[in-house]
Amino acid sequence: MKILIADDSKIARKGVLKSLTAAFSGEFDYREASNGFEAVESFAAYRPDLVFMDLTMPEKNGIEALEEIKAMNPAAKVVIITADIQKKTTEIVSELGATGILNKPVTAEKISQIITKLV
Amino acid sequence: MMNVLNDDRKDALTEIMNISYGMATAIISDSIEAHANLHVPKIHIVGTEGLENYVNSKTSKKNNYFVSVQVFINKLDGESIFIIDDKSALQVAGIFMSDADETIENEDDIVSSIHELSNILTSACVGKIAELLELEVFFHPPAVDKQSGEKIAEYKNFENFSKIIVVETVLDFRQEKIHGLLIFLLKESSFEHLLIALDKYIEQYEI
Repeated sequence: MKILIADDSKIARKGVLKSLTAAFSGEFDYREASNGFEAVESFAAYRPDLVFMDLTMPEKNGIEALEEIKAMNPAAKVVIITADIQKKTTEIVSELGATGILNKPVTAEKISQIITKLV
Repeated sequence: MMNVLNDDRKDALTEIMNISYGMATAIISDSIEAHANLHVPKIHIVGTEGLENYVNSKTSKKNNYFVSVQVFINKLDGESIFIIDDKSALQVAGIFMSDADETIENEDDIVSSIHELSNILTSACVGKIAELLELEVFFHPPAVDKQSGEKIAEYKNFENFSKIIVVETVLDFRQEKIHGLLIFLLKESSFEHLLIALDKYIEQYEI
């Protein structure tokens, strides 16, 4: 399985990776992106099976990146990981076709629940 | 332990502030029933000797500012200062008061709104830092004052603190961008506790 982890914070990317390693028993390959622009570029080039993406990122935010990724591939599986816990944000990203939303900080348990649903 | 906020520690602190801002924004947006856009907080570390220049670079002598000071104690021991110009402060009051179906009648209404906003921001930021880093902290209520731009950086108790964390904030409610400076003044022992706790926080994500 190919996974793209997009977050401007290195420690947040590490957190997703560690939680993923603990939660998912299968083999996976991954790439990292540190802003929304890189996330879209990397999605186009790498064609991941699953994307974990932050919302508040520089250059291009996660909502814009999600829109572009979904325009490229409406079936793309994008899980939003965000510190923004407003109900309206959840509605916006759901309407844009996000596969799931996890609130920061992520844990292996949260990742495990979403992976179980998706894989 | 190097007594500095290196890149990894700064990244971890920024991420924690990001989570804190998420909480604070949700509290405010729930209370005013309006969605807000969250921006990545920008964090800078300055020494006490550099704060005046830094604040002066971010403020104008021509403007007036509302300044909210809040003391927090325990393992995180220090003060927060929230600085917002009077135009943004009026916007904040407009948002808070209009939601309560009230109109701004005098400066006390603005002071009250800034009191509320700064309390939410400081409690969310320092409280979340304390929670994630397993440090206890207690808060005193904020005190809000109006100051001229010329006096803004003349803060009284610099000598009690050694490290200063500045968070540049943008709160984006109802298409209104509200800029503010949130400054945390920490005593040396608190800064050391913070670094130890940040290292522990980083270690938990090492594979």
